[in-house]
Amino acid sequence: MTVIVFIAEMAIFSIAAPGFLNFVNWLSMTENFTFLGVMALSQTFVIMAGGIDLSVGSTMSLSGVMMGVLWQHGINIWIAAIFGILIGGGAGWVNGQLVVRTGIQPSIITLATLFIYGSLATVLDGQGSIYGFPQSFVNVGTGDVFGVVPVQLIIFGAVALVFAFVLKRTTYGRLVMFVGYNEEVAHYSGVSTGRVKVWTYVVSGLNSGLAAVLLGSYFASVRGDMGTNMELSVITICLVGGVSIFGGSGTISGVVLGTLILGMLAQGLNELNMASSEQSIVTGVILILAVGLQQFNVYLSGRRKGASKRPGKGVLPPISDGIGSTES
Amino acid sequence: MSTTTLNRFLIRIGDNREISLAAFIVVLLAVLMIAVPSFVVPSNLSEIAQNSVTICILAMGEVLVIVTKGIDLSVGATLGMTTLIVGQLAVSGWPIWALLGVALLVGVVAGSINGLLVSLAKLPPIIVTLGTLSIYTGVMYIITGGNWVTNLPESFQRLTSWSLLNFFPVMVLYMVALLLVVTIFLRYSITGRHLYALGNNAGAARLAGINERKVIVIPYILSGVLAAIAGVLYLSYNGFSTPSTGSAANLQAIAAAVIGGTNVFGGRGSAMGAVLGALLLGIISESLVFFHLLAVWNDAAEGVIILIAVVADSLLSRSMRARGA
Amino acid sequence: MPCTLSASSVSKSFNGVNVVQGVSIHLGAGDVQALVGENGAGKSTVIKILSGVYQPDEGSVYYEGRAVKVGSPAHAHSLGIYTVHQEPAMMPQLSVSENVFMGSHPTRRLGMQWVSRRDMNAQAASIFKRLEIPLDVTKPAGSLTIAQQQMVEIAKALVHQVKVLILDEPTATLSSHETQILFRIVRLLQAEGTAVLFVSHRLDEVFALASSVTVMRDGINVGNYGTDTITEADLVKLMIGRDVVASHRRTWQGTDEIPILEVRNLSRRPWFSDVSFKLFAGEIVGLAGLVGAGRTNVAEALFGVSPAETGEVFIRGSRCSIKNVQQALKQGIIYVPEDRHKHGIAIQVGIMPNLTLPNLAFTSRLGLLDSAKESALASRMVQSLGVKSHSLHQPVSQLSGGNQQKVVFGKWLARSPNIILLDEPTRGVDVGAKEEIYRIIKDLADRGSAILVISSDLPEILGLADRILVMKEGEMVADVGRADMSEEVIMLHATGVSK
Repeated sequence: MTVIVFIAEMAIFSIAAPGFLNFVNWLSMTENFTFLGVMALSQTFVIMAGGIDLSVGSTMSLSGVMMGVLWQHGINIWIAAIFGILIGGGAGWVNGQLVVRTGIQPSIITLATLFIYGSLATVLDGQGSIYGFPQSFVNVGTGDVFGVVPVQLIIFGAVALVFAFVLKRTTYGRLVMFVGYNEEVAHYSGVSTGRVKVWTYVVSGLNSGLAAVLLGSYFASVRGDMGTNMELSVITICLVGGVSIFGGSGTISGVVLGTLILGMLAQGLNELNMASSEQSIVTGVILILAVGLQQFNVYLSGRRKGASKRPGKGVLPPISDGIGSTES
Repeated sequence: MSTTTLNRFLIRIGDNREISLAAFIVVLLAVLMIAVPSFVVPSNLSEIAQNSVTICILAMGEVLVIVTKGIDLSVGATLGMTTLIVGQLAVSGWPIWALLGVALLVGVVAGSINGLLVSLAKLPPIIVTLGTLSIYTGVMYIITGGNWVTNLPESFQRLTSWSLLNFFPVMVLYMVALLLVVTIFLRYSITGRHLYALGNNAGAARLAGINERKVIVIPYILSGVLAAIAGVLYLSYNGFSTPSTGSAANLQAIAAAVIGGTNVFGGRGSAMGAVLGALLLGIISESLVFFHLLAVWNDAAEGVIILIAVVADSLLSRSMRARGA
Repeated sequence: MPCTLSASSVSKSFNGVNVVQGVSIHLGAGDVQALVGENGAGKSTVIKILSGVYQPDEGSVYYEGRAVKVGSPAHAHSLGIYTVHQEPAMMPQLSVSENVFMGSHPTRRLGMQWVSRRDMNAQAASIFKRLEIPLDVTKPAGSLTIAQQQMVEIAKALVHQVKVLILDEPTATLSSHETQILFRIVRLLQAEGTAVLFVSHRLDEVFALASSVTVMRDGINVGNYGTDTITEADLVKLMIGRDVVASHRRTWQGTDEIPILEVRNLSRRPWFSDVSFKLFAGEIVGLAGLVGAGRTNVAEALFGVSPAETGEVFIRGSRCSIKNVQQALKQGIIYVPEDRHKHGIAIQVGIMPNLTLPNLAFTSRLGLLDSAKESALASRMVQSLGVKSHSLHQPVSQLSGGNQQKVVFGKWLARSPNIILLDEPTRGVDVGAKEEIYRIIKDLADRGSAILVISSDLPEILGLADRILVMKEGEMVADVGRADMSEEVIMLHATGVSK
């Protein structure tokens, strides 16, 4: 289904904007959005485990600024970059602990940390932007392999492969799926659901840090607000890529496609001279449509199973019907 | 032994959040009066109060929504959208009554989109309002082309520039009027009570015959309308608006509501508490300026305050449950 | 016969399992009728059909002579049919009076209808005063005890014009004082012409309150009898309806001195207190009792889901502490839960992942899944348990209840557990699969595991167990040995009826 959307989209744009489908051009365009894809990959795990991370944009700003500040103080750019990524992981760890220990909705917790990390980033970045990174570093974001394939795309691809592997072939990936589908069952089966969830947030933070490195090297600068409003795009990518907002299901290949769909959409709209602020309307609409479609699918499959289904025992976690009693 | 006395103390605070908040504000002002005497003067306080009015009103709207276990991330954008639409029309000479009508229309439409998506399509409020937030923000850019709206007619600005008896700024009076309306709605109207029912136990509410699908749209529409009204007041008071107006207001509104005792799990909350919460936030952010702290720390402070309020709330409800069993 | 409410030949199935079959029940004005039967007899389902929660697959409901389709609880309310369910559904942060009046607030006109809190509180206060229940109606309902909340539920029904009052196990959470109050309410209603139908296990209450009693057994209506024409003992016989079946009986030949599991004075108030018992390797011990007696709570405490507050647990003689599920697993304790959809298996997921979930340590290497080992484990379990499916990757939602239950068993058995806690192991399982599960259970015991079977199905427990523990209202009241085991004895211990 997602593949069809992608092909349709490419077709529309190549008609509307000639020269769009020049392959080399196309490849280099990906540099504009692979960092979003990197964050979407980790957000996939967070959502699959039943949570959500709204603070990814701010974490990215914080990591980027930390990297810049450390570099300004004389630390080697590569080491600074690693530190930045680790800071992102730390921010994610805080998110995870708060979510697991307080039991409060992740949307509220990460909404609060969105602002905390965001303003920390702005404060650290006192004077504006930090620029002047060494060329070797900038090459990461802007360089090509064989003159054609952007380094960023290779990094994104590599990260996607790792995530796909973890999701499909490791015990952790399996646990993430179970915790998302039915946390109680996982708990009753001896799984440390808290630890599983905390790690999803840590990884989300680490990826935000990586995204900051990619973006920072692409623009050869970092700013305190570099990640503002990214969370909308990241979550939309996940949903378009087939990750269920209710947890449990999703594929990395879907998310990669989702990245390409939304990334190319932005590029295409750019070619058609739509301002980025106007593009946010499109993203918002797509987000709602994507969730709506998921809900519709659930509704359809519920009806297909027929009226003989035991009431209250569906695929979706049912709203409590207030009548708690066992069959008697 | 000390845990039970702490528990009982917490429960008493929880039982009456408004009083404790009011007390806290008084204490805070007292401390500030000692530390920075120039802060606690009537002119400054009046300005703080008037500046907080927009968040007060937005927070009231959030209370309506959060009580039903929902959330509205788009209120700031609705406010901004209203300021720009009304502002442009005001500049072109539309009469005030028409401007108010337009504002209400914007609020109703924006709120209905949210409400219908949550109610009919059964989409999670966090995603719906995240989506409409970006849609409305984008609309703001489209209708202004990125430009500011300025040069508002005198008559419009006069809506908010006078004071009753030369003492009560009318901005505050508008807010108090809305506070009364919302409080009466929440406490004394049947629909208002149904909102609390849905947030407490949706299953039991349905058993009691409450039509969830119909009722759940209402808080979102009201939140939109309140945001639109806040927009009109904001525009009149400040005299201008930009395409990024209201972007910070979303979190502030939610923070104010949560501080004011609205439970993020639904079922509890008051407009009065939200207003006090907004006033508290206003005082804190103003005092940060006085202490020469950067305005950017505001966001961090609000985020931290939300976390504290929300965590304290969950501890409170845990101890209340333990007491019950 | 002037009937206010009746069900005529109603039937209802869930997931292919017939729960109620051709049941007719008649309630006249001023009748107080009791509905009795063992757990699983179908009583709650009949109640839910009459109160609009379920729709019958066959048959119809008649109200005052006309056939009606009671489409929802709200519809039932509009007909004057009010139901008080087993567990109170409160709105915890709202006041007691508001809980009582939600959906029908007392109002005053002032242009439009406004909720009058004063009237609401006053009326609520007067209701509870009349009932002689001391309650502060302005307190949040969440701060009440379960018994008080149940009284609020009853008050909720009473504020309306009640033509038919249905009570499902109304005294399960009440103390004797509140029970007396409830009796008074029922008699008052009876005098006013209201029809009352109540489900109860407490036969002394049935005889004290009801003028007639309907007995259900295995989904059918066995008969309706006047309470002055039948004895308690006969009633119990009708509920059980068969001679004790001897075919399943085992003989435990264990010679252990030290029990594999010993529990001393385990408490978790208010769910259970002072529970003590022993389990020996190779034993199958039944745990019987009414719904709400605390059996599942004890099992969940032993499994670390809701750890006990006080008391001691000994595994093979050494004291151990079980504060979470991982610790329980380490001690070799496993738990097959009562509600497999909520706690047993993730229904959207395939058979194999469900089977391997607690066994990932064995089917993986350094954190990497080994699909060969996984398939091997899964096939082994599927084969030995006889799970009928067409592929290991089939989502368990497509399996029958019996096969789903086998998957729950299977995921644990790969660990060769020492202590197996089973909670209603054949709930929602068809007859054929039941026999297979019994075979599995006996096999496990023969191989040396100690098994605790919680079950409300008396023939099942009698067929499986070497001895039977009985709980009543949170306490262990009996340990019935082989010689004394019979359905009547167990029922009498569980309901507290003395002979």
